[in-house]
Amino acid sequence: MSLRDFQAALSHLYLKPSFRRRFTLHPDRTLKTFRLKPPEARALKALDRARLEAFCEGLELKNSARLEACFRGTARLVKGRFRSWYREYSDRHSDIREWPEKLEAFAVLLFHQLKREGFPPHATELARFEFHKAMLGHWCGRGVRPSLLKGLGLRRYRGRVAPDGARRRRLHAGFMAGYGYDVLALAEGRIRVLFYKPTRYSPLKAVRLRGDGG
Amino acid sequence: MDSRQAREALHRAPVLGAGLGYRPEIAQEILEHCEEIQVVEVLADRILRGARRDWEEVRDLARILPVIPHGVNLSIGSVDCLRDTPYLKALARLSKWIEFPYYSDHFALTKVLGRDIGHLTPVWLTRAQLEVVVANIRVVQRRLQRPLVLETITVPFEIPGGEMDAAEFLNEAVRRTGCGLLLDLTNVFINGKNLGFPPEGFLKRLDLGAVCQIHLAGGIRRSGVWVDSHSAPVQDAVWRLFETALPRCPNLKAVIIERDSRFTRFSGLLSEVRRVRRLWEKKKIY
Repeated sequence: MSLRDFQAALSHLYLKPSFRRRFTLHPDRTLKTFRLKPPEARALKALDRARLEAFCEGLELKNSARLEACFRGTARLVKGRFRSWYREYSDRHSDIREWPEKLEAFAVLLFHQLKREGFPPHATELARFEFHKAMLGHWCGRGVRPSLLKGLGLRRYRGRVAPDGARRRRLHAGFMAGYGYDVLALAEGRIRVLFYKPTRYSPLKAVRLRGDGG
Repeated sequence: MDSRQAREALHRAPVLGAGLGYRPEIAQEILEHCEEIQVVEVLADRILRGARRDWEEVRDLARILPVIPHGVNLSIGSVDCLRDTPYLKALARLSKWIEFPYYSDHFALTKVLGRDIGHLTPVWLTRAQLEVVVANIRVVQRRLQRPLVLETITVPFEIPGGEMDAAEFLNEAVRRTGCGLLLDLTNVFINGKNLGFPPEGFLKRLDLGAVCQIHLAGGIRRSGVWVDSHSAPVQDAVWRLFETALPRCPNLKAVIIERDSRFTRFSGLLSEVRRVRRLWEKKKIY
């Protein structure tokens, strides 16, 4: 049982910035929540703090980059705030294990923060669009039939799957099975989209399309 | 597959030669040079997460070149490694889908009690942890009906209070399970630089008879710390380590050059593969 708790404490140190801060200030009190044997507690307390901090910072950067890749346009719009929101997210949701649950939990926080901090409405619209796009990318990438996407509140639109129809009709950036796409630029709510058409062994051939953001 | 069967399977496995990590960015070039590239290593997690076309792609590839799947998410050090049954199920499916001599993953923690850490992190080198690793390896080998091969990782820091060093730990795991080792010489070099120990000492203590694959990659130095970035040509010091280790690895099956970014010059990667082949032939091991 004890090794289990030791690994749990380690994962808290790696993933939760607030836990790390508490651990630095009051290591004994922070570790009390885990049933650790004395050598295990000693080992954690003797960790090289500078190296641990540098590692965790790199880890945070890597993990947030994965989410940033899903919300590229939004991240560009909110600039430095994205990273601090990620920190808040990892404090609250470090126990979520798998993709796309991570994506969903982060999206909820993102929508909330965009509204709370007074970003313009098209920022939230863009974040929602990017969220749907990433979810569709995830499910279609795994070979899930578009009909199964109903569970996500999405429906097909003129042969393509588009996030909930009417509100996004003008958004030409529907997802097509077998295609990936990338939002390149956002200016006044206008979105330019690049479609990559994968060939048998190489995804490098690109077809450029343009669309308007809703 | 028990430890004896795993050991025998690794011993019987054919020598595959020198090759590259298969990445979509260089897929076309790999296929164009498949006479020179003797083996490719594919990212197992990309296939497991992928759609049917990814599974078909790897099957087509396996008809052209020998393929070794390489994973990152087994988390062999975790107390709950075996709780992730969908992952193991998918791996078992992959082992039926294509033919490969062994499956490789890292000697690391990547998931702990439902938390995905998102990176390879070090394992605490204690007896209790060894028991967990040994039990996990046995189950994985039984499940896949293939030997497991564990790769040495870069360690950002050591967890104090260990009861043995990494070489001893791995030797013991190999002795008890019959698994093999994947010696990433770039990681050994980087650990030596960052943690301040001579890499040759680690190689002396490690059971090189269990090494069946070697990884070579280029790292970079960022803010005074070496990083295993897989984005540069292999460093001269790593080539020297390779020349030192090569004659002492009698059961070596494959050497893979890893590159994850900056693919601008494929000819550079190809010349590294040629260099591996030249050195290997010079040592007259195969």
